[in-house]
Amino acid sequence: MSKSTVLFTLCIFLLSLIPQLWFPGNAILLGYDNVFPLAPTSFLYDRIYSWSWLIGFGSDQSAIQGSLLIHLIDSVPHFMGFSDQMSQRIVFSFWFFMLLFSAYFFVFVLEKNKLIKTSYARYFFPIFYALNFYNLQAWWIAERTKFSLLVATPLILCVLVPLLNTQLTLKKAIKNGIVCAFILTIFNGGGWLGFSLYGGLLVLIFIFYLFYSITRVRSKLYLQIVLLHLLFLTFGISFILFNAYTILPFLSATLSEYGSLIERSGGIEGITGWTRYLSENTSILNLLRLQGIPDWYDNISHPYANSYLRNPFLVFVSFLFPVLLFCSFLLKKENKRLMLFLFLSSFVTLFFTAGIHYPFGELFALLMKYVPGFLIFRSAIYKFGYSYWLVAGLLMSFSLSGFIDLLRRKVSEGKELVAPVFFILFVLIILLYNYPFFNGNFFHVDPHYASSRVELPVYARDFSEWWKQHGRGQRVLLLPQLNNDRHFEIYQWKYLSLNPVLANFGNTGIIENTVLLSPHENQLVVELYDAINESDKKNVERLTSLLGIKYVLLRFDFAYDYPGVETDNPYEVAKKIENISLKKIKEFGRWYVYELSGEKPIVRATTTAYVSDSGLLETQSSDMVQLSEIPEGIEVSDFVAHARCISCEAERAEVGVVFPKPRILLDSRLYQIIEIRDKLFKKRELSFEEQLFMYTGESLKYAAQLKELIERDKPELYIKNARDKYTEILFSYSELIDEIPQRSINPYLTAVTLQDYSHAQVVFLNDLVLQAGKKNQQAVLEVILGQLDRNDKKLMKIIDRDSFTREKVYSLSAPVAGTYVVSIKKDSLGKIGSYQGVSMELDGKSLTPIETESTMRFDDIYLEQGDNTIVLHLPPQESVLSVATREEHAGRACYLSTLDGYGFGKVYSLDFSVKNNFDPNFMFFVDDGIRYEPKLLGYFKVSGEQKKQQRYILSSDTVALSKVAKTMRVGFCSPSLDEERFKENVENLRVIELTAPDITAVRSVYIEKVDSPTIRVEEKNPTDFVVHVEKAASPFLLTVSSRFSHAWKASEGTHLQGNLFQNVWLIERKGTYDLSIHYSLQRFVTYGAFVSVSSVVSGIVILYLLRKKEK
Amino acid sequence: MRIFRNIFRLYTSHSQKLTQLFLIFVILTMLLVYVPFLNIIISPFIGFVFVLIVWYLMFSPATKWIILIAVIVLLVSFSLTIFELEMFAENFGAILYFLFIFLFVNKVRGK
Repeated sequence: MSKSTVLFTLCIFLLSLIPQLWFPGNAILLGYDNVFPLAPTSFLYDRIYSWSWLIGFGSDQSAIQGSLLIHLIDSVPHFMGFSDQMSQRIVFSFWFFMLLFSAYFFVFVLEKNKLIKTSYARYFFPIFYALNFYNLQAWWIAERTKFSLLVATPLILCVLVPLLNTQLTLKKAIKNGIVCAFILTIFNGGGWLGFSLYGGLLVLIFIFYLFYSITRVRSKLYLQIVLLHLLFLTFGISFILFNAYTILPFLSATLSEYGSLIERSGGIEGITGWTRYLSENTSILNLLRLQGIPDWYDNISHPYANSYLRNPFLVFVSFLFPVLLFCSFLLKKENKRLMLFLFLSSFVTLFFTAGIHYPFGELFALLMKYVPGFLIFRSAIYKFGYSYWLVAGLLMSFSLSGFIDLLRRKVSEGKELVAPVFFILFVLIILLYNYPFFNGNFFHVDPHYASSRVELPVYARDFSEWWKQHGRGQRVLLLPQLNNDRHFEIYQWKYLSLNPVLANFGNTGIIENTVLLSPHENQLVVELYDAINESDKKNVERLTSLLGIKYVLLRFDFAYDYPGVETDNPYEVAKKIENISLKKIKEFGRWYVYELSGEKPIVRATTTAYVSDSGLLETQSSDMVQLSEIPEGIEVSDFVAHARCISCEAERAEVGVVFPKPRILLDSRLYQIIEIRDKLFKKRELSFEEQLFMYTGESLKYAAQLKELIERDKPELYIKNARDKYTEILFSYSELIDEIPQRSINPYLTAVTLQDYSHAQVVFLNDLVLQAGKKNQQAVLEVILGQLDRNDKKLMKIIDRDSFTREKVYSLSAPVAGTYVVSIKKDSLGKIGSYQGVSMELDGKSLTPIETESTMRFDDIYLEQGDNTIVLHLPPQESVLSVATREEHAGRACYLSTLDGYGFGKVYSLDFSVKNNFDPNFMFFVDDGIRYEPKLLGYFKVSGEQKKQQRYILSSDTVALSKVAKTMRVGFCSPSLDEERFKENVENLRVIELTAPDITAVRSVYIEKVDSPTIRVEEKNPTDFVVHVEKAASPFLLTVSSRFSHAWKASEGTHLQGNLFQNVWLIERKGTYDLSIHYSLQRFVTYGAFVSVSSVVSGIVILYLLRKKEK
Repeated sequence: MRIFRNIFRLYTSHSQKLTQLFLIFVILTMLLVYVPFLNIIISPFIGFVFVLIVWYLMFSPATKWIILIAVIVLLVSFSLTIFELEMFAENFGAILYFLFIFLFVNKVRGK
């Protein structure tokens, strides 16, 4: 090896020290998706088990157990006694080194196998491979899972690609298969949840498979193809065996939920929508320029993207990459098969990396739709990108190296200097081009202050240490709550993540409303937060007992006012905590720990149950368990049913009607082709709702046809033809309206929506009547208007908009027949003035309630088992709008009113009739009343004396107000607005609350109270517990406050789901005995580990024997 | 003058092919733009691809020529990008992709 080779190689590997530049002060990389074990022993201990107790009420983690190896690498420096920062420095340099090494080794192998002759590619390629924007984006969150696959890919290619030039033998096929499996077992991409990251590798392997097979078929070397299959078979089987410890639990738990995972991600449409969004900027040109990272284009405060998008020099350099890529075709000395394989790989990987982007995007969308499992690659650029960057980097390295070789040949004098000088020059250009790697300015991509590089406060670690000792088997609720829409944990010291920072310490029993909670868990945790905020001591006690929460941690360093994710102010929360007399027991810097009184066990034994369809009984105490079905073997004290308002949704419906503009009119000869096309592509089997809306769509289409025909003054024949078709549709539609109450899923919503469409057509045709110059045209329109009116009346019989807020229809599903007490929460009734007018109708009988402090109660109501329909009659809702006051805003005079009693989550209807006879700038807006910042805004056209009725639904969905907004404000503004004009132009202005009153029916049965047995719980490990039961005198319910899973098994008893999400066992055995509770999937980890270890040992032995024979 | 003479000679030697190519281009454009339903069903991109393929098959350009064209396309794209007209430059990316495939085909054919 020459001196220059050693020197250049050393220089290349020195780049692995780049991460050392990223740690100013005490900073470490943490947050966003970067999970780093800051207390490795607890963290790794948790990861060994397929059930994790770290966050919330526990969850299955069999899909991420493969990350054990990656976190083991993270933990090694910690185990050696290094600090958090030094550990990260070492770990990240290790990964940087591995990236450089794998690329270097790949080229080295190619050289050794005489597949390439160029001499500098081994230096250029590692730089291209390790320093690029694809990797930089991954370094932002130190994505070690991705790096592991980035390392594995060239190493696997080192095994496969040399086969292009050699004959495959039986031994070689087996040996290579096992070696590939070993590589992928060590660098495994973090487990099966991250399997989609394998996308790039799988594409390259598939291309190799195809390419190899085609070349061997052309050479008629069929045995070689058989051996290649053997290689991949060995690879696959060995890989499965080596990773049995993660595959077995994954297959048994996660894979069975593939369908529900897709549904939770928004279905196929939702997933392709995401792919389209991510692929917006992955154009071929951007990818050829080695750009196209989605974050670059939608974030104006991106730390470096704007320079690369706008700086002419950097733009110019980016165009040199595709030039280099094209120039690689000029290389003549390299092995032709290798080059063909690389060229083929480059444009195939380019296609996959581009995702759903023009020009081939629709092909990718088809793959997503029709290839089973392909949906997992929804983030196309992130999942396939590295394979493209690998191939493109390699080809560009060849070009650069070839260029230096060419110069060396061409230059007659100073040959020794040409190569090093140009080599250093090119390397410097590449390094300078990737300057963010060196200045470390890529951790801060948020427009505000959040960053993935933070200085962890000492008290966070102190609390973690304390919790490890004192919090064993306990739970702590974190305050303030996370913003319930976006669930980010954000601290003033820049940390931002969906993952609680304490999870990095391996702390268990951390409860907050993270996105990782199930809907029911979240519902109860948010109820607890609400109870704390309302200083409702009784409810706090009830919910903490139910959830097993003994401690509360109040974080004063929480960034509660972070824009877009605002939440409760911790200082105000502190006052609320004082009101409910929680005892402060410890201070850790800006974190205070409070203790709740009494025992809050996670495992409890009770003898009383009640049955409730959804939600919990407010009077539930810790010795009661909610069950959704009537159990056999234990008496039930209460039967609870929550009524579901089926007409309320209709009140809130808001329909925007658009009339399609016809491209081909009825008088065109081509219209028949349109009709044929419609018939051909018409969906054959339609649901009832689809049928109705199909007719609605058709009627809008004919309305638009009529408008065009009349406006263009087409012959009467065609207008009549359109009328006939229109009325035919309306007749068919009319017949279906009669069936709405019986066949529609929500007849009220359907009827109201159809009314909106019908009214829109009436307005549309009325305008047309005024425009129509001829009497016969007007007559045609009158016929249609008549039919529309008849349909409208039919729809009004189902539900009348005028009686909306006064008549609400509920469905109440009673678990058993009998007499119930039905109560309505008064605070859910809205602003109705007097409660005297509240009544209920059941089976045609009108019932009058008794008014209590907080409810309107109906005693002794007999309900049949199953669905009962209730009609709730209410007095009219009063407007909650305050009297309008005049203010100046943005140079305009405004009349402003606020909503009394506004609350986040409530829904309002804003109604007014308006004309504009004075100013084209007359407008209205809705904002939070703090400063003029419209969230909803509309201008009124100058219309003279013509009035228009306006209706807007105001809710958190339609008006994006912050969760902590105290009010909502409605304003009407114009530069020339005065009181007289305001009163003249805006009439009947009102805002009413669209309520869905809470109705609960309870049937209480007297049962004799039996003492619960005493229990003691012993934890063997996170998936195995022993419960010592003493003196069980009767059947009882054993409740474990953990997320329900069928995989949790008890040695005896019937497994039920109780308290909405918990594991409950009905134990009928009496006396004193031990019960065991275990998470059954853990046995797959144990068996799998045994299979893995024995397979790895066997693999090593086989490799050793094969090597020996080769020698 | 010599350059112009060379260009003219090049043109005359390929004029037949050029005429055919333009004819195909015009017919395809007419078909895809003006014929109802065809203009809805078939994406204009298909026509563009077809013309590119026909160009490649007719002229069978050498690797260095394709690379030269690619560099010119890149230069145009660069100019558009500099003037923040990436939207137009994007279409050139599609041309580059096909040129890349043609280069690959040339390599397979050993040209």
